[in-house]
Amino acid sequence: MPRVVSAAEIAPTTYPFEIHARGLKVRAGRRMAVDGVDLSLTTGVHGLLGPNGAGKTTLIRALATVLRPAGGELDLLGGASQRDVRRRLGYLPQDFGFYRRFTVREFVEYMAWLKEMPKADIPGAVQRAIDRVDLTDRADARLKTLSGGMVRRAGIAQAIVNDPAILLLDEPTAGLDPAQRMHFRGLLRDMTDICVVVSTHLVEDVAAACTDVVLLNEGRVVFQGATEALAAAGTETDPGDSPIERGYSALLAKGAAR
Amino acid sequence: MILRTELRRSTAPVAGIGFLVVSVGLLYSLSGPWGKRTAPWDEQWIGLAQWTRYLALFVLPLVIGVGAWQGLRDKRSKVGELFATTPVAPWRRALPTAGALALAVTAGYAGLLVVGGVQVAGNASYFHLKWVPVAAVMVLALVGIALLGMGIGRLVPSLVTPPVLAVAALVAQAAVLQTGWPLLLTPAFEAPDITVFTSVATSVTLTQALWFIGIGATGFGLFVASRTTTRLTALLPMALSALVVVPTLSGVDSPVVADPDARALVCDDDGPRVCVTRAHADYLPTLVGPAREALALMGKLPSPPTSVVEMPSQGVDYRPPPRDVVPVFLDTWSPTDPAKIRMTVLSGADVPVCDEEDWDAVTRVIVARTVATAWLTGELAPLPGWQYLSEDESTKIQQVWQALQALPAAEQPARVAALRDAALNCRGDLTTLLGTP
Repeated sequence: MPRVVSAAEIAPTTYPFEIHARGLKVRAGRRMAVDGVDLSLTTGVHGLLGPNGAGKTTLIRALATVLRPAGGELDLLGGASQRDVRRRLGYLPQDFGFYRRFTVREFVEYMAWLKEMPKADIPGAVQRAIDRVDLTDRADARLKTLSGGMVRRAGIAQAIVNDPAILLLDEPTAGLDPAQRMHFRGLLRDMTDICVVVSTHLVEDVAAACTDVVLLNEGRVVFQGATEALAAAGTETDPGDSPIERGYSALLAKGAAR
Repeated sequence: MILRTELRRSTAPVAGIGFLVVSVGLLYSLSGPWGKRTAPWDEQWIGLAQWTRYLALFVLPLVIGVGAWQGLRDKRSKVGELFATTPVAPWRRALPTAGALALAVTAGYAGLLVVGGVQVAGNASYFHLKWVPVAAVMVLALVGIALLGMGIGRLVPSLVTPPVLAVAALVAQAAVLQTGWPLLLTPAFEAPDITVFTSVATSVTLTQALWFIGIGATGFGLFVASRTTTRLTALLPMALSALVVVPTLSGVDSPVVADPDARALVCDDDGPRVCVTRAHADYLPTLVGPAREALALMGKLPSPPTSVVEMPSQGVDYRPPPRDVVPVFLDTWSPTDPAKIRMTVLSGADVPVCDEEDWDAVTRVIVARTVATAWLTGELAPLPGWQYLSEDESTKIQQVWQALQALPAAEQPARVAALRDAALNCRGDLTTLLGTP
């Protein structure tokens, strides 16, 4: 059966950037973990790179509307209301919590309901999301019976079930084996028409799947640009096993020296 | 869709099925008070409603514990972060979860009412709807307590919360059991308040309904609230209902009122009058024959009684019947054996022994009644329920029997009549009246 496309899906966007932040400050506890970030992101897959403690998760949580900014401005989807933003948001937290007794299908359905999808669209959307993450044959298995990798994929399925305009994935490849990671990168590469922010500390994920990179260090953006530009920033003398790793090291070292 | 998922995956089925299994298990495996007295849970409608509420003493700890376990789910599942990014308001998200639990305990209780109701329908001749509001309050109580459990589980999200809460509920109920009105804050009744001739006062039913609705609202509020101010606000419904409920219930002498319909008499007038209460109308056909035989035998007394009428002995103050009426008290025994019925009617029925505390007095009454009955039937035989007497008592019966027979024949009826009169009015030493030395 062909999918019914809603008016909202084909309506032209009226804003230049899905995510637009100016001087954004966000606290994590007492620490100002994000300290003056300027960021403009549109459709495409954006890798959020940085060492541990750089503020990646805090930034993602602010984008996910979990944390309220402590300063600066944050416009999501052209300044839409929080409720509208949340309807069109997909989020996979670093520590993905779920109801263990639910099946994959039931949990994804539950999330679709929480995102206020029209009731009639839910069964089809749930099936598509489960198919996309390759869990079709485990759709009716309880979540507690799934392996860690399958749980991650279920987490991605719940994040994409509402065809989000902004998809936030915090360390999505943690716990995936190499084959699953390759499959996941393939999934990311297909998401060209939405704004995806993938936080990771694995540089090779970025190289394989992202159209551009945001490099975060100590709560600030130290680099934003195409993946190739990140590679070009490094030289043979910088530490690293690949051009992107060398660029990453070089930019962090430069930021630290400044 | 979401409600169906919650009905299958939350603790709701545990609560509903657990409630039914534990309740039915208790009712059938233990010989509790619910099978005795005048309104057994499987024989009278009011008994069904009140005894199933009595079970709250045992099943409410289970319900509050299961509710608390449900309340822990979000914390244990760590879904707070993910769900915080969804547009649905917390109270809206809580509806299917709370609704599933409420539906499940309601269905469990409905199942219990069906199990009992099928038997009551077969046993009871007196149908009425006064039991329905009484049972409805139990639904409100179960839902309210389950929601309160959920709320407390959310407030104190620790693995020990459910068991601690269940034990606390058990202790609290045990503590209020013998204290009078505080028991009315639970759904349970004291056993003496459960009789076929009474029903629960409407004011008590309404007040309890308000109380359990307040508890449920507070439970749901606590389950949804995440900030201190909203949590304090959530306590308001329970506190406000307590302001109404506590003064009202503490002023209640007895939660039950007489049920005049149950006490209305159904009579057979084809011959000497024999009447039973409507609650026991189905006993009338078996009672009529033996009761009339007994009346015929009593014809040799001076101004003999002319009718047999059932009187409620429990749940009401006993008042002596008129002299021409033989009272029977069918709420303490079921008339099936004609010989037993005849004996019971002849012996002055089972008029309450006036001073039950004094065993000597009880013995004297039994002796006197045995002899009086023997005089009427012409054959000395033990009274129903008093087959096993001590040697002293048997000797005493023989003595009195011989003494009575030794009296001039003209005086004997007067002595027996005087005894009956004294027995019905609780006066005098009965054996002396029969002329014992």
